[in-house]
Amino acid sequence: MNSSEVLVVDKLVKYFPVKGGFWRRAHGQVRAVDGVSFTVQPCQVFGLVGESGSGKSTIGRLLVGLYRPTSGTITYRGKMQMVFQNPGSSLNPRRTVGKTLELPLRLHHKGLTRKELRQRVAELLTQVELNPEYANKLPRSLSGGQKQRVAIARALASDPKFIVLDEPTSALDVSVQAKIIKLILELKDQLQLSYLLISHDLSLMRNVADVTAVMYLGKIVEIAPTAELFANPAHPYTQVLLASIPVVSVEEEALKPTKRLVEGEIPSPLQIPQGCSFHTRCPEAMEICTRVAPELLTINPDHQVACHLHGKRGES
Amino acid sequence: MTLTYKQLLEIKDLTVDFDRFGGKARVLNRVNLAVAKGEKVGVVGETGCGKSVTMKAVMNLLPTRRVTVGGSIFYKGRDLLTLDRFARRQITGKEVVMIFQDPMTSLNPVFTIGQQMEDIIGYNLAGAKRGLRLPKRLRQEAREQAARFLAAVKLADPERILNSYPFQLSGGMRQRVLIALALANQPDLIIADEPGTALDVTTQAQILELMDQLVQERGIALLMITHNLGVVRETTDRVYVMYAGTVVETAATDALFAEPLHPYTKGLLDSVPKLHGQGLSAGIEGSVPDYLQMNPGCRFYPRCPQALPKCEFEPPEPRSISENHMVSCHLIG
Repeated sequence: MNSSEVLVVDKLVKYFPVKGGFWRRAHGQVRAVDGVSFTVQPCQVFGLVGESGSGKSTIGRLLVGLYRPTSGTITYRGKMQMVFQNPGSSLNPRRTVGKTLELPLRLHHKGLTRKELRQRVAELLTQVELNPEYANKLPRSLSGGQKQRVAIARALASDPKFIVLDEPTSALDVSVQAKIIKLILELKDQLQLSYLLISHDLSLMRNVADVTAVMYLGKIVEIAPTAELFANPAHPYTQVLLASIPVVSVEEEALKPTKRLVEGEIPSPLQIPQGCSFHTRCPEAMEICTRVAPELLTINPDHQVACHLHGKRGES
Repeated sequence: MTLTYKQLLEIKDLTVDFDRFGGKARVLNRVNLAVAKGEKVGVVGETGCGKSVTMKAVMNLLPTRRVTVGGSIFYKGRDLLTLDRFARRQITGKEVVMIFQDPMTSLNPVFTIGQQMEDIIGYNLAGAKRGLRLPKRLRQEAREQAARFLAAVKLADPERILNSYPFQLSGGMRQRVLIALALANQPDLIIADEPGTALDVTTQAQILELMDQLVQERGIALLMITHNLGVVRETTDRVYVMYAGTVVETAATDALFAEPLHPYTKGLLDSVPKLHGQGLSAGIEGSVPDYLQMNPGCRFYPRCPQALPKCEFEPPEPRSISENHMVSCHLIG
C-alpha cells in the first residue's frame, strides 16, 4: 500500500454458490464480483454506478466484511463503516435513537461512563443536524430523512476514516436528498473522511463523486474522474447509461450522448456471456467481442476503459 | 347515451377527508385536474402530497369507511361519484385502467401469466359477467388475444411467457406484462403510478419509450404519477405539481420546466442533481406537514423561502398566468 491511499482493492473476486436439489449441493456459481481493482485517496468520494445485478452492492459489503472475498485483497487504513439504503429497515424499531447510537460507542470506546455516553450521543446528533432531544425517540416517529441522519450518526460513532454509502438517498424525496448529500459532503471535509458511494443515480454521481467507476456484470468497464467520464464516455455501455438519464432541462439534454437505447436487459449473473459480457446488448459489437474479454486499458491519464473499440486499434 | 364533453377526465374540486384518531385530515383540498382525449399528463410532487390518493379516488380504490369524498370526477361527461358501484365498475378497470408501481407485487405469484391474462380478457369477452368460468371457445380466443398483446409490448416469444410464472420473468418483462394487461381492455385512459421507478435506467428508458409509442398509436390518454421530474419532462404534454393535497401549479410541460413560478416547483426542480455538475442545491427546508395540523393559509407557507405575512392565513386562489398556466401563490399576480 502506497503511503497516500486509504483503500486499495486488488483483483477482488466474489462468487456465490448456487445451491439446489435435494442435498442443496452447489451446482453453479454467481460471479457477483469478478476481478475488481481500484484505489481511493484520502477525502475522496469514489463512485460506483451500474444497474442492479452489476455487483456494486456486493463490493460495498465485501469492504466492510459482511462477505468474505473468494479471492483478492482489500487493504485499508483506520476504521470502516457503512450506511445502508433503507433507513426504515436498518434501524431497530424497538430501540430509541440514543440506544442505537450508544451501542457502537460502547464497543469502540470502552470504559465510557453513562454521562459521557449521553454527551457523545448528543454530539453525534448535533453533528448530523438533529436536535439532541431526538435521543429519546423511536425510529417510527422520525421522517425518512431524519432516520437516514441517525444512520449516518451511527456510522460516525466509531470514528471511521472510510464510509461505504450504499444508495444513501434512493429511498428519499429529491428535496430531502439534497439536504442529506450536503450533510455527507460537509462531514467529509470536517472529519477528513473518504467515501465509497454506491448509486444508480448518475446525475447524483456527477455532482458528488470525484472518481466514478461503471460496473457491468461484476466488472469495472470504465473508470475516470467524474467530469471526464461524463464529458467523454468511452465505453458503449457508459454511453447508453448516460443517454438513458431523464433530465429536467434543455441545457442538460445537450450534455447527454445522442439517444440510443439498448435491446433487452442485463443478463443473469448466472450466465455471463462469453468474451465481453456486454456484447449481447452492445450496439457496436464486433466479432472479437464474442470471444475475448477486453482488459482495462488506459486511454487518457486516469481514464481507463475495457472495450475492444479502444486501444489496440492501430495494430489490427 | 352519449354526452358531449370537452375533457375525457375532469376532476372538479375534489376533496378527500380521512377520519383519523386525532381528527379529520383533509388529504385532498379542492383538486382540479383534466385530461383530454389522447393527452399525456403528468402529476408530480413529493411522497405524501396526495398524488396517489387522487388516482385512487378516480379508480374507486379508497377505503369506504372513515373516508369522505367531495366534489366531482367527470369521465366522458358523467360524474363517477354519483354512479352506483356496478355502473362504476363498467368504467374503472375497463375504460380507465391503472398500472401500479411495483411490477414485482402486482402479479399473482401462483398463476401463470397466461392464466392471469386469460381471466381478465375473458371476463370482458364474456360481457363482464360475474364469475370467471369461461367456455372453452372463449378461453381459446382470450389466449390468442393475450399473445397478441404480449407481442404488442415487444416481448419475444409470447407463448413461452404465457406459460411462465411471474418469478421466472425479469422486472422489465413483468412491467411489460402489466402494460399488456392494461392494454387488453382497450382503455381510453391509462393511469400509471410511478412506471419504471423499480427498474434500472436503461430498462426504464425502454419502458417509457414503449408506453409513449403505444398510447400514441392507439390514441389512449395517459395520466402519469411520479416523483421523477426528468421522466415527466421527457414523456408528458402537460403537468400538474401537487403539494400537501393541493395543485399548486399546472402548465404545459415545456413551459413549466423552462419557467417554474411557484416556489415549491422551483425548489423541487432545484433539488434535482443536474448533469452539468455545478454542485447540489440546498433542497427545500422541512418536510411535508402533518395533515392534522395543516397551515390554514397556503399549505406551503411553513417551508416557503419567500413567504409573505398573508400566506399564513389566506389560502391562495389559482390564477391564470397564460393559457394553460395556472399558479396558486400570493407572490404571483
